Amino acid sequence: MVIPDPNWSPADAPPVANRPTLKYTAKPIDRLAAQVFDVGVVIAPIFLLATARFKVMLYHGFLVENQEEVVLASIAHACMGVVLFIAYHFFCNLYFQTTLGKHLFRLKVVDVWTGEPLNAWRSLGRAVVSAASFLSFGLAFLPMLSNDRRRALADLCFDSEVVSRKPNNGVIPHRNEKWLVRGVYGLATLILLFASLSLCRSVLSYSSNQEDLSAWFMDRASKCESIDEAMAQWPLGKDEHKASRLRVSLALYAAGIVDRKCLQSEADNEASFSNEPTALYYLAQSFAHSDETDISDSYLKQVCDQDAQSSSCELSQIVSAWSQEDWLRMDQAFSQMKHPDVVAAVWAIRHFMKQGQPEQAFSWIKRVSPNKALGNFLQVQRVKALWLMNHTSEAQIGALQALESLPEDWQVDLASWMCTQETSLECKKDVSLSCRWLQGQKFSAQDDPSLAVAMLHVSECSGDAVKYSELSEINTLSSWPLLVRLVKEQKGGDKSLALKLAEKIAYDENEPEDFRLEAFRRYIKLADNRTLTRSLPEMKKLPQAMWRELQPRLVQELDHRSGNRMPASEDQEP
Amino acid sequence: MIFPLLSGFLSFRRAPVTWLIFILNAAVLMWGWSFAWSVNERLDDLMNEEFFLQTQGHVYENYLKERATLTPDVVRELASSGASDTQHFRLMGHLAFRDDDFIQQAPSEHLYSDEVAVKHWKSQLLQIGDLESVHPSFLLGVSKDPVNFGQWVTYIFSHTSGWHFFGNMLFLLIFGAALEEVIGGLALMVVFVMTGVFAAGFFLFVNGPTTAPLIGASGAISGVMAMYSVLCWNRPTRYVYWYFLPTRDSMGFVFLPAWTILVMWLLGDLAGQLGNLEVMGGVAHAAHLGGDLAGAICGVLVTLMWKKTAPHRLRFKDGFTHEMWRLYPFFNWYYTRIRKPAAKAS
Repeated sequence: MVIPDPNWSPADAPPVANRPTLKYTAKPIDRLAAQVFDVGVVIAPIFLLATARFKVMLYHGFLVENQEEVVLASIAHACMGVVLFIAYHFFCNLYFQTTLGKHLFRLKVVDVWTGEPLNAWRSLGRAVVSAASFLSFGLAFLPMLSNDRRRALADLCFDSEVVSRKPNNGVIPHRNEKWLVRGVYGLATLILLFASLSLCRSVLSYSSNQEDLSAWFMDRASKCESIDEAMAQWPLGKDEHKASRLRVSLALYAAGIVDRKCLQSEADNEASFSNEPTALYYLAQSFAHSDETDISDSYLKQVCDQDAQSSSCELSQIVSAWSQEDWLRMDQAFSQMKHPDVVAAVWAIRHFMKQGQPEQAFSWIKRVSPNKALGNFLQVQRVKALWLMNHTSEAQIGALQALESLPEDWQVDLASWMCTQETSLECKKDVSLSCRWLQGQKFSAQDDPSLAVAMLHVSECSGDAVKYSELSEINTLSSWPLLVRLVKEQKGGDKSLALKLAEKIAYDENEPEDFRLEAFRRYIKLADNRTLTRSLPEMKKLPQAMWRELQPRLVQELDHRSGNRMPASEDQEP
Repeated sequence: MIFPLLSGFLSFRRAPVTWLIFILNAAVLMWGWSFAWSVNERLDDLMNEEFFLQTQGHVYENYLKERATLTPDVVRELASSGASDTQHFRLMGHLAFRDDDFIQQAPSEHLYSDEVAVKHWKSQLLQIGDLESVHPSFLLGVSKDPVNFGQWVTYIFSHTSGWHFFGNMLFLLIFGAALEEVIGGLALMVVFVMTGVFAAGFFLFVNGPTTAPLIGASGAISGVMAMYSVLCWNRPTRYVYWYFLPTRDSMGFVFLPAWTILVMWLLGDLAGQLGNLEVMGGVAHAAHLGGDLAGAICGVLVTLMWKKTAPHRLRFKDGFTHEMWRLYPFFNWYYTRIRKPAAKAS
């Protein structure tokens, strides 16, 4: 490094005659060409050859997911590159005053004062700074565009200069070049500043992010871990010594506690450790491949081929009827089951709840209970069944307990369902318990249509002015703003437009079921008697579950209009 | 960027055999494309189907656990790693395609107990086999049957894609034409085919029969390059360099002795071969090295022969005195519109 001497005066400078004149100063473009040649033609092939074994190590590390090996190989690559670069420049500059690339472009490296070759230390220092300049994306080479002797950072540090062996009409930098350098440095400074600020910001928010991330990972992991927990809590049958892990996973999957990946991983484990897969394994695989119809059907078929007497075979027939939406066959199959197990029971509960047969569902819930592993599922379904069976007080007490004890996902599911049910006909004077609970929380309804509908009800029944523009942004589905618009028009706008919107959403089979049901509820209120009578045949063609939900509301509305409003009992919905 | 340009692209009149080889390669590419398009698409769909790959991964893992085959260590390590996630089995499924013994033997053995998955896997494997039997790359390329010597020649003229063809032909038109000017058209054809055959032999010697066919003229072109580099070892060879910079001097030529080409290519291929994990990689570096070796031997033999019989043929004229830039529209525009006016003004 050059340390400026305060006592130095021009008179002390070496004689001018020994200095290379500007006429011989190397052009930056020639220096760039020489550098490209050195790196691309000389250093790169040697680097590739020298790091071949590290490359194998790197690939191996990636394949067997050995992070240490990958990091080591990457470091070895970087070190080898830097060492080769420094060694090549050091030796060439020391012994020949030029590299191969510089030789081709007739350039050589000299002492800026004497024009003599550099000594070993300065040659090494210059090579090291050149390597650092290379790693800084060439930023440290830019000073050669702004000073008269075209010296880069390495030259400025070690009092060297690159000169041409022949006169090449070298010119001092044009002011545009100087501005270019200033511009690039300015831009680089801005980028650096911006990067530092972002870094600071991310460091500040690191702790909260870390908490979020770890929570997310914990949640992901806990989904599959809940199988281990369930295994410890699973109630055993009379002759059972240990619960079948795959059966437990299937029951948890049916109840929505574990996802498909967990189920598939359990099924794959079973295949790895058993010689002959069971009927249950094939049943699990059919669920795991439910998005590939052919494969799923092949597995379902194989279940009964494997063991025609098993409960898995019975369940496979039920699942097959479910996929064909043959609800009658399913009802029969459930009633005729010889060996109903927990998996079948969970499917039965879901089926009967979907079909609007809460009594049947309730009897299956009783059969399965108590089961700690399925506790959350059973608690939610029990409350829903009680409500649908018109035991509203019991259902509300159950909901109150559930909202205090259940995990968040289940709470949201139950609260949104209850809130929608409680306020679907009219808002009560005081907002329902579930709606109040939802109002107090801050959940995102972006991907949850049922929660979005519940939030709509909460907003309508809160007594304050409804903020429709805010409401229309709580869900990402394209039909959601239409539904909000429908409510807005229904409240005090164009009723005929509201009716049209309700009709559009309600009859669109691609819309989520929650939106369609909500639109139908509004449609029943908006349409006149004639329109309702006319659309009755079409409504009857709706999926059975939807029709069963709508039918009592339709009857109630028609009775209300004809003046025969049924007196609401204490336990009955308003 | 720096690239050996030599004399550039010579006309058909000056290098007819080079252009004939080019046309032959283009014709084979067109013929292959005409019916390989749909086969390729179907083959891709079948080979990348998730369920098929997962099953193949399971079967391959069980296959490796039961046998002590010549499978590379890294694959055995993977198979015994105990990983059971879908990504692991997908990877194993992909690697299984490279194990010819597995593909031949596994379908007839009971290696996985899931009958539905195995049935699906076998039927898909059968379909893949049927498609491969009519695929141009498998018909013309050197693959599972190493003693089919016809394929040792036909593979030179077939390419997998437009980019593969473009890359190889760029080098052929430059080096083939340069060598043709030195040794003549017929000799070039002989050298091209012979070094190609030698490259295939060397590839099979180093790697053994593979399920992925060896195709492309790169082995033969390496031979042509190596022969040129040895035969004209001291001759100044023109390289073109350019950077994507808005300056007047951002492109130009440098001259280096011809042996530098061989050294650069040899180092690159040697590094590729040594740094290639056996179960990965799509470039046949071994074939390139074989081609280099054959070409260098040819070059040495011809030099020795000419030294005795025709020493005048080894005294090359400098072929770069004419203004080569006129052949290239961009260079022409650059020199006439920018370089010359700037020089006049200064």
